[in-house]
Amino acid sequence: MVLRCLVVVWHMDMMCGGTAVNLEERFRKKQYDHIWQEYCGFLDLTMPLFMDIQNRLMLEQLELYSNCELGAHIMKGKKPSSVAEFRKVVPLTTYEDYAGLLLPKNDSALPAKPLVWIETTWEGALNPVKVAPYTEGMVKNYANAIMAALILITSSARGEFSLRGGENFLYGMAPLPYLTGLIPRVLPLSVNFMPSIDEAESLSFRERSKTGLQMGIQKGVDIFFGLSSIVAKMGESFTSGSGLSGGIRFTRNSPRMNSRLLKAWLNSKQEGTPIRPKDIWNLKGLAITGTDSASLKSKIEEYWGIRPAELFGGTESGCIAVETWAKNGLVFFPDMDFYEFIPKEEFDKNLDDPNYKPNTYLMNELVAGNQYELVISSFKGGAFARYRTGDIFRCTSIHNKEANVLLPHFEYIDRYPTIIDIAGFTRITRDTISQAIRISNLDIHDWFAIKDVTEENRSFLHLYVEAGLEGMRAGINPDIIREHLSIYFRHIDSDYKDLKALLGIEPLKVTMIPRGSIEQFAATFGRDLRRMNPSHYDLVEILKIAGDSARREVS
Amino acid sequence: MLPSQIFFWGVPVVALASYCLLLLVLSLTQKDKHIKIFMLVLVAMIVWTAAALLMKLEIAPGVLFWNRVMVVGTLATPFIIYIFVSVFTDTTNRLFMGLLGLLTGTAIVLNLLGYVITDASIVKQLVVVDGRTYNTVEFVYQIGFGVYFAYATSFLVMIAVIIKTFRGRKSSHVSYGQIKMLAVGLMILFLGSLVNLVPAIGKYPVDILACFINSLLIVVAIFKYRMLELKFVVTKGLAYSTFAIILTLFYIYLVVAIHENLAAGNQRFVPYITALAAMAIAFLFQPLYKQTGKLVDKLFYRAEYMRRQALRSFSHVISNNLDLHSIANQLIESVQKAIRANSVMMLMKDEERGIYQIFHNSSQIFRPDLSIPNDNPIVLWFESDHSSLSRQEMNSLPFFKSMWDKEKKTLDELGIEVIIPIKSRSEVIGLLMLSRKNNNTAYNVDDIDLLTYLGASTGVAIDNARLYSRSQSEAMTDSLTKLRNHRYFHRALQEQIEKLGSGELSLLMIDLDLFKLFNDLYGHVEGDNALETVAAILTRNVGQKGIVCRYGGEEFTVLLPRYDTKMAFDLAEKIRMDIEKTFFSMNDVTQRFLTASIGVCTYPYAAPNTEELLKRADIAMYTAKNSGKNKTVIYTPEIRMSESSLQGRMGASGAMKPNFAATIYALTAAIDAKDHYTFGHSQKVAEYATVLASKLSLDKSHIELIHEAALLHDIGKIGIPEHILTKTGRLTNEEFEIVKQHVEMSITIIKHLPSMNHVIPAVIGHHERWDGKGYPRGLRCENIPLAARCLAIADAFDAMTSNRPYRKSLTVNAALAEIENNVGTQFDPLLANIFVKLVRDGVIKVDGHSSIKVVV
Repeated sequence: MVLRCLVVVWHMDMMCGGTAVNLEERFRKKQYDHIWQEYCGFLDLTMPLFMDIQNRLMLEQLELYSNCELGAHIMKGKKPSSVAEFRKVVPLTTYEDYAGLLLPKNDSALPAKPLVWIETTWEGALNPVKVAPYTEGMVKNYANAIMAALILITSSARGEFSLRGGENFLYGMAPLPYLTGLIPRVLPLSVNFMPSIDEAESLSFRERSKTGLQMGIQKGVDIFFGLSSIVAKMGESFTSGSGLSGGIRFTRNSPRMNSRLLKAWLNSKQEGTPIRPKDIWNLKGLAITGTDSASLKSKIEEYWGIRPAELFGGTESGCIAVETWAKNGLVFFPDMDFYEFIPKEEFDKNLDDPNYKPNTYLMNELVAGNQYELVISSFKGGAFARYRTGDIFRCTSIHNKEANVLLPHFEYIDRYPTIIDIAGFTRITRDTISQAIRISNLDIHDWFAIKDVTEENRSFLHLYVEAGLEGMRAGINPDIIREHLSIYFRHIDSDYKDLKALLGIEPLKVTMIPRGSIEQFAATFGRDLRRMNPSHYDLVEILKIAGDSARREVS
Repeated sequence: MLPSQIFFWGVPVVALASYCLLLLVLSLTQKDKHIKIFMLVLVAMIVWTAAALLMKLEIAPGVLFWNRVMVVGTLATPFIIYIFVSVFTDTTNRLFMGLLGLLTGTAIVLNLLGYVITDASIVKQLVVVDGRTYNTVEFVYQIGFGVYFAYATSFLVMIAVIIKTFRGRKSSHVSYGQIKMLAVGLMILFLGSLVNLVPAIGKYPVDILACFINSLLIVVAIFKYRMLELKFVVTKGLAYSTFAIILTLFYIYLVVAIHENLAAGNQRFVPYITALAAMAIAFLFQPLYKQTGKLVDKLFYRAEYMRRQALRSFSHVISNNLDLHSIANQLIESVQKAIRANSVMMLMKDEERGIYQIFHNSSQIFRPDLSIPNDNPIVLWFESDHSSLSRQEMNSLPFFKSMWDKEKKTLDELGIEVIIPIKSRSEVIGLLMLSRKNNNTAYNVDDIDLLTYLGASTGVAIDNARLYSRSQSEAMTDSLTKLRNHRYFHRALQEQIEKLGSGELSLLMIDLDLFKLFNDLYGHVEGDNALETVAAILTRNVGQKGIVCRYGGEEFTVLLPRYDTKMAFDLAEKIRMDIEKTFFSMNDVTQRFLTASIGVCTYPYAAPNTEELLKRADIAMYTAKNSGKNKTVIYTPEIRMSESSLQGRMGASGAMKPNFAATIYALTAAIDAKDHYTFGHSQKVAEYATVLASKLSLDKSHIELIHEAALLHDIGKIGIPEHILTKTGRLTNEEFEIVKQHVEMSITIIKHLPSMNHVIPAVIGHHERWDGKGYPRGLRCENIPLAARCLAIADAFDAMTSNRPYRKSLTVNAALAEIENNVGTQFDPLLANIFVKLVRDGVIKVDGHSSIKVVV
């Protein structure tokens, strides 16, 4: 297994090394127009051309998919010959449909031989992780997408970007086997990762961030890519002074950085304001990802002095969307996956009736202002077909005439209502909460949960509970419940404990509502209350039933 | 002048002139960094050479001064060449370059301070050779301690240059060819400088000669490998002029040298001899000038020269070429000649499969498996009016993101660098694909322009060739069946016989039975459809094994090379049965009778030549026809004899007729005997119809036909079960359907009666109705043969006036009234009215058969 991993990493290095030489030579020859064209040229596509690429690559995938065990399993033995037929005969899928064939990492069942297996936590909790195979074609596409993203985050207008190679790259993302760990391995341009790839992979998340920051102070930072919650928190720590405490050794810093630090310190003293990251670093580009990105963008800009550009990616889908120089919406790459969209009305119907089969629409059939759940089908021999990602987007515009980008722009809204994603770190499902309540032995009669946000735009899990009779007798209160559940959440979900440690946020808030409120809701409206993220209307109604105290809490 | 003296003066003069001219040319042009640095090299070499000349001429301030200037040039030249090679191979190492610069600078300073050459002078002396006295000039110098440092520096730099040159090979964008020129030049320079250390050689300008050769090689490397476009740099005239001036200088120099040598002799003849020598040299130089022109073309305009040549030969060959393969071949050859790509492939569109496949390629051995579907973005790119596609564009333009991995991989494996469309009007009919060039240089605008031109010309040529091929094919093709025609058959027959020599060639002569009748019955449209069906059957059965032709009318031929009689007979039988089965399985039952008679004859055993082969296959086919049709007969000499006797018997027209008349009466009697209730029906119908036909003033033969048809019209009832024919109650639908089949059965019987085929249209149509509601074919109005319309009235009238198992006969008047009622619906109005009138007028008498007089 170790040998195989080594081989895979070596192969990826070789694969991307060749490209790196080529790309670096082009950078050296200042062929910036060609570089832009190659990586960001997709922004010149018209909608019909975008769809032509989607359809043709889907046909390639169908050819591969129809001839493998996984394809036969997912497509129920059918071999669709057109994209329309594929959408007609293949049902929408979730990870459960793939688990049996993917979790054993059985290469022979797949449409193409994978180069690497990417892992992530599985919020369904049926298995600790879910895995996704990445073929050589997918890894190449991923590398191109990341390269395009780097160019775009350092761009100020079409064709104008400041990326040159050799930049100091403060990299705050998870290492392999997480998808973001592929970035340093496949990036076709040499940059100075801080910390270095090998060092980063042996450090914990917290150590990695700390080491990266130290190096950033010593050498300077040109590009920063991290979870929006982390980027915001780092800005906050700097501003409060804790970010610099005990970390600065002037003798190790470059003269340039020392002069910057001195200047920042003098300015800070003169104006009586704290030192912010933007005072010591002049970033070329700042990329963020995560569910809180939209809400934290302004704050991040304030700290870092540069408008962050958002990226969107997932283990199953790869890096699929990026913001342009205009930084006003995500645009999808045409060659990463085949995209379908389930309108909100359709997935709401499906939430209420799990047997309902929601309709999907294609990129060229969307309506601006509407919310959609993304459905992807992998290209290049990937494993997923009509896979519901659980990610909800709002189509903000069909095109951006000002920037002359004729493709739809999107805003990432959140995860599917049945999943509560907090700061991009952890994803809590109904099963996670039920399990925590069960093993905590607390007498909780019923509950529902919503994703809520603080005044600082920080998300947290808000759990409304009805205590059982035993619990009521024992004087159970919100603090006890929160303490107990926090312990068990940490036990069940390893990422949960990082929330407080890294971001300093309390991810769980408990509000008690009168026993029987949820049942009364069902009796009043003739339907069950959704336990995870009930609709806004239902939330208002249940809180009316629960009484003023609960309503005050939510307001 | 001694040869050593010629060398002493000639080398610097020619070198200096060349350097100055080249510098002048380059200074007038657009310059890139290579040119700029090369100009610096030239300046250093001019300093070197000019100082050497000035020194030899002892120009003030003196020999030593110019000697030191010359050494400056000598030291500076390798260092500037080092810079040039660094830029040329794109491997600049600033630190090392600085170090070499420092060393060179130090050496120059030492030289200028007088530590390299301490003294230098020109020694002139008289030398006697072969009894003749010559003035000789020699350069004598004293070296100081600095010379070792200067030489060491110079060699170090030159070694660094050579190492860098060879290392440059590893760099991906510099080819071995480019490096080779530089390396050879530098080696010469190095050796020239090295031998200069030997005083016996050093007194001659060997180093300047080496330097000159080196600079020439650099010039060649620059131009040959397209480091700059010569046409942007210098006009062709200027290039010619440069070389012409060099030659002229050399010419003047030779004449002067001769003059000087002669000066020692008789002064009276010197001018004459010099003039004669000058003319002789001029005469000898003339071809040299021409060769110079060619050399300039080949050396500096090599690419353009090759392109011109390629274009000329391509235009010449394809202008009148109408053969697709030849055009493709010429295109590939021309492209190879002009571009020198490693491989060139031409793909043509397969219209039926919607893919582009390799039609021709430059490799004689390897034919890559490459096909590009219609929807490939490469094709769509050219359909949107783009004229070329490079690998870089394919890799970088978002338009090509839809390419499949396997498509990319195939093109990568084939090393495709450039693709050019071959278009016919706006349709992409082919693709021209080129891999990288032999010298590894990139495709430039001129290459692409040339390829685009060749692609467009090829498109036009292919278009013409296709049109020609189509018209050729049409001239040899039967327009209806798309089979080869009679003309082609004769050509093919002759060709096959010639080709096979004594090998076997079987001929099938196929004739459709009763096809004229088929046409008469169903019209020519149906007849044409039947011919197409037969053609398809033949093509299907013969495939690539033989040549199928439509010989004429309903006759087909099949040429079967290397088929013996048995094999040919088997195939003929297969064809015959396929025709029978195909028509029998048709929905329209009335078409079932179409069959074929086939004659088989094999060359050389059964026929000695083409004429006999054709004639004897024909005899066999007629034998099959005359012996019952729908059969295959192999030609044998016995057949020929019986055929002759048959023809002899048939010699007198109608000689057989009485026999057939007897047959008709026998058959009529047979059906009358079977269907007792209709006893005499055929006879009566014949009588009524014949009277009617006579009234219509039809010719005698037509009346006879109606009579015979009437006698036979119900002959098919022989095949209807007797219980149905004699049923007293009303017939069920199923029974009626069976009764209706008697028409088809009549035809099946009649077609076996030789010479009675002409009655079939009348028989088959006697149950048709004027309004088209009859059977079996639902014909209407005049489409129903006249004879059939006559029979219909006569048949109906006799049926009504005769007793039947299920009813009693009507009276004559009632029957006539019924006919009148159905005028225009069941019966032809004109004929029905005439018939009614004939009955009412008593011309047709109903009571007593014999009372009706038959007019024949």
